[in-house]
Amino acid sequence: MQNTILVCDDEREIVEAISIYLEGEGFRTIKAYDGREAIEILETGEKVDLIIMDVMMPGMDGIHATLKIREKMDIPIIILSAKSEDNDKILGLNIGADDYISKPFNPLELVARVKSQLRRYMQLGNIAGNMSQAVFKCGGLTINDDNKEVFVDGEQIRLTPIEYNILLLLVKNAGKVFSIDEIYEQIWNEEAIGADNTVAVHIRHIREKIEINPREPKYLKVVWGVGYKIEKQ
Amino acid sequence: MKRSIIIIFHMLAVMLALAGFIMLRDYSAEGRGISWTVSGGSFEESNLFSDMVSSDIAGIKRYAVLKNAFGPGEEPDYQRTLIIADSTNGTITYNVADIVSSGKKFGYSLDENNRLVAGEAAATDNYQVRVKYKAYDPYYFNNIAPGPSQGLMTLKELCFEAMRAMAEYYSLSEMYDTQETNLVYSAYFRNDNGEEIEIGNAGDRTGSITGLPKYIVMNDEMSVSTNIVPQPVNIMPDNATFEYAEMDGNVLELGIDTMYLYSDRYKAASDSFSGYIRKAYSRMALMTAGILLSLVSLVLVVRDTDAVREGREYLIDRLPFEGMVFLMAAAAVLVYALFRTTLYNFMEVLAAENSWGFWCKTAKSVDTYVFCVIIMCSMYRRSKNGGIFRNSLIERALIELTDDNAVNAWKAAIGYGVYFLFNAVCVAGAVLGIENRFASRYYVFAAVILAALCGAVNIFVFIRLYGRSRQRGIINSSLKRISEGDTSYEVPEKGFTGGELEAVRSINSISDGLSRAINEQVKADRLKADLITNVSHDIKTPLTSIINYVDLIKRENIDNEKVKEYIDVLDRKSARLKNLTEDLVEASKASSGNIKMEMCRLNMSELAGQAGGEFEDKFRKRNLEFILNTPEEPAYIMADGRHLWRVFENLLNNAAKYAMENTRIYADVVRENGTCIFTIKNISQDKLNISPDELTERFIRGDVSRSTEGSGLGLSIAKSLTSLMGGRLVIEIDGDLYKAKVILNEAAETETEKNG
Repeated sequence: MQNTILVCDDEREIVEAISIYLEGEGFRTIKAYDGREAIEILETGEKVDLIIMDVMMPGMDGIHATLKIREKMDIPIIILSAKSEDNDKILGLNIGADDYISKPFNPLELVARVKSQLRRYMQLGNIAGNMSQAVFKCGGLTINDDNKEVFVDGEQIRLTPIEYNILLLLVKNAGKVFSIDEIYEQIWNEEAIGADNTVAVHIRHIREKIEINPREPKYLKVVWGVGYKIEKQ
Repeated sequence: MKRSIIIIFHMLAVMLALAGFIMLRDYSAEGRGISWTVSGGSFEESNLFSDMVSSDIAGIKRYAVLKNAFGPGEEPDYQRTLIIADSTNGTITYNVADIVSSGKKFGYSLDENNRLVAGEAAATDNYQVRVKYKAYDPYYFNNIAPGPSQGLMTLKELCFEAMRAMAEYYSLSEMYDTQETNLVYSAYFRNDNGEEIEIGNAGDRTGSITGLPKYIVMNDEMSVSTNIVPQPVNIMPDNATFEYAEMDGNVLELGIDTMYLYSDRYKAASDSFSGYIRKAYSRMALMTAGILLSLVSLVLVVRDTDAVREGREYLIDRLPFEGMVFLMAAAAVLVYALFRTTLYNFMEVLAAENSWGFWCKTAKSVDTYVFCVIIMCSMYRRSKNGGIFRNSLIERALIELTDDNAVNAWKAAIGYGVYFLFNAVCVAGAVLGIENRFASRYYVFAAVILAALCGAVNIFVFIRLYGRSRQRGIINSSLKRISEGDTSYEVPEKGFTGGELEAVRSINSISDGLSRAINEQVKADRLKADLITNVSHDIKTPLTSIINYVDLIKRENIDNEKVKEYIDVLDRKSARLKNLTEDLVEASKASSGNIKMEMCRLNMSELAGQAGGEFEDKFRKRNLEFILNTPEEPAYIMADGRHLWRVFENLLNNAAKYAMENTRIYADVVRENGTCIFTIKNISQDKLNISPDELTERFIRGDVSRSTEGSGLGLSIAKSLTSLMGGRLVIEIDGDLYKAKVILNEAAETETEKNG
């Protein structure tokens, strides 16, 4: 099944480039050059599975357009903006966007995020049905402890046994912050001697595997100077 | 060797000065100092000339007195009454003949030159008479002391005195009766008996005396007219030698013919005058040269001392100038006083009595000289160290009293003086009034009023002082508040007076300006940060297209190797541009403090471990070994975790980029004096010929070529962020060893930790 993505930006070249990437991945794209145009396209009844929306546009800007769309539809919206401040991101996510990418972006990351959003949107509800005791879920992250399998947005991820144990510890206690020493003591079952970056290296490896952008992790968060945690979702 | 020569030279110079001084002293005209040498060169205008005239005036007056005593003729009139005295036999009158014959008995006679000689006495005499009158000393009676012994003399004494006067008469007559002299005079006196005495050598020149080049005329009206400058000292009417002044009709005219037609003492003096002047000048020159040479040689000696060579200073050089001079003078006096007795003892043993004075003077001179030398040495050292009069009290006082701030001090001093005077007058008046309370009841009344007035004024002054010090207290606390950062604080002007009101107004205008300046600064910083943020947004949009299309080109199958290479360059440079814009925004925000810090308690060791984990693969790529040392107990600090991570990230990034391959990177966390310090050390791959301060400047990088990726803002951002968290970032460079330190304050212990 071919998914349709609406790309909305006042910079025609950017819309064009994004379309090329997405079409290269087998998506169908519809182009819009400001918020009003995007809404008009949606109102024609065209089937759209995901929207990529710029913020600063003439006419109607991305924030207003997102608010307007959210009144009627719950399809994933990814905001794409040159504004990279925390405040801008928080604003974007609060008004109903599902993800936020700042310009200039990495095309691969954009594609990965699009795919991730689509998977979650499509499979939402499917997995929730067959939840057993040994399955831990946290947002798009699912761990099945029976057969030691890890899924991110439905896609299976391969982890080493230590990585798996660390992730399981964190997911089981989602929201709790574990320091390096605590993780070490729990996983290796021996007292931490400190001055060893083994745990930190493992965490980074886990992040690289489960996160789209390990520098801006969505699941496994670094609480700098305190420890690590899985965000409760 | 050289030094001893200079010292000997100095001694010689001192002796030269002394010799010049002593010789000059012999020539000094009596009571005129050396002023006679500066008369303009001509003898007639010198003190010497005027002194000669002066002595001639005295001589002529004396001659007139003796003429009166011994008669108007050239030879003495032997019948003239010379002395009248009382004896037990009644009043005796001696005339000149009596005296001459009596004098012979006692061996007194005049020789062929009319000089008094004392031969063998034929008689002894102890018979006293009371002398009432001496013709040769008309004012004798006025001059003797009253009492039972007044005027008692023996005949022998009288004869000696009278005959000496006679000898004087002869010699004066010889001097003043001759016409062969350059001195022309004519005098007219009237004696006690009303007899006229007329003396003079004018002859046919009478009446032309005032036409002579130098003249002097004195008359009974006590008026003096003369063209002799400087005026002779004894022409003033109150001079004791002008004995006939109060009598009527006396006149003295005197003139000097400066052609010097006759060879007399005036001519001789005139002839030798230039010689005198020359001699005096040469002696003065001798003395001056001696003084100068001794000073110069003294300076040479002092300059050669160890203290001066090493620039050392003694205690006396640090004293105020006046204090030093006073101290040395006191020391000189003290030393002389202490050793005086010893000196006397030695003198008594070693020296004859008539030379004791000399030795005393010598000892005093040596004592003075020694301390003068000490003063001079100190002055020389002072001149080398900031001026001879350095530390001078007078200079300091002058500066103190003349600067702008002295006005208030003057006011205070004068005010206090008036206050003190008022109190003193009041108290003194009250005490006097009480003491005289019995004299009049008004005194008591006045005393009570004065006491009341004094009390009232004192209470008033106290209230004023109290109020002022309160006002000053408010001013001080306000200033403290403003200096502690409350720049918008305004002191209420109400209740302030005078200078304090002025001060309050000044403070308010300062705090006003200060807070305005701070606000403007903050505004400007925010504007700048906003501008940079906006510009970077505008750059990012086209940059996105560039990056994306470069990426798209890369995906096309291009065979041309050159094009591939060019695309790589574009790829790298656009990535760099992206980094730059992001870092620029961050740097501008960090440096303007436009960043919100969410401070919480965190463990620096934990953060260091996490950072090490993040950079593990970057380090491994360049084969760098990361060695982290942390203390056993957690190093808690208050910081914003994300921003502190950014600081660590930048530091580790630098290490990963610039450390020499195959080396170790040491990171240490230590707790020290209430701070936690994270240190990262690595050996730099390239030479670090740049100062640590410069490294944290924006856009400065260790590699001047800027070949590696990076914005050059990393350390600047790290530094700004660290200081925003209340810490410090210190960079140290020691050869190729590069050291970065993040110093943050330790967090206070929490309750649970204390308990646990």
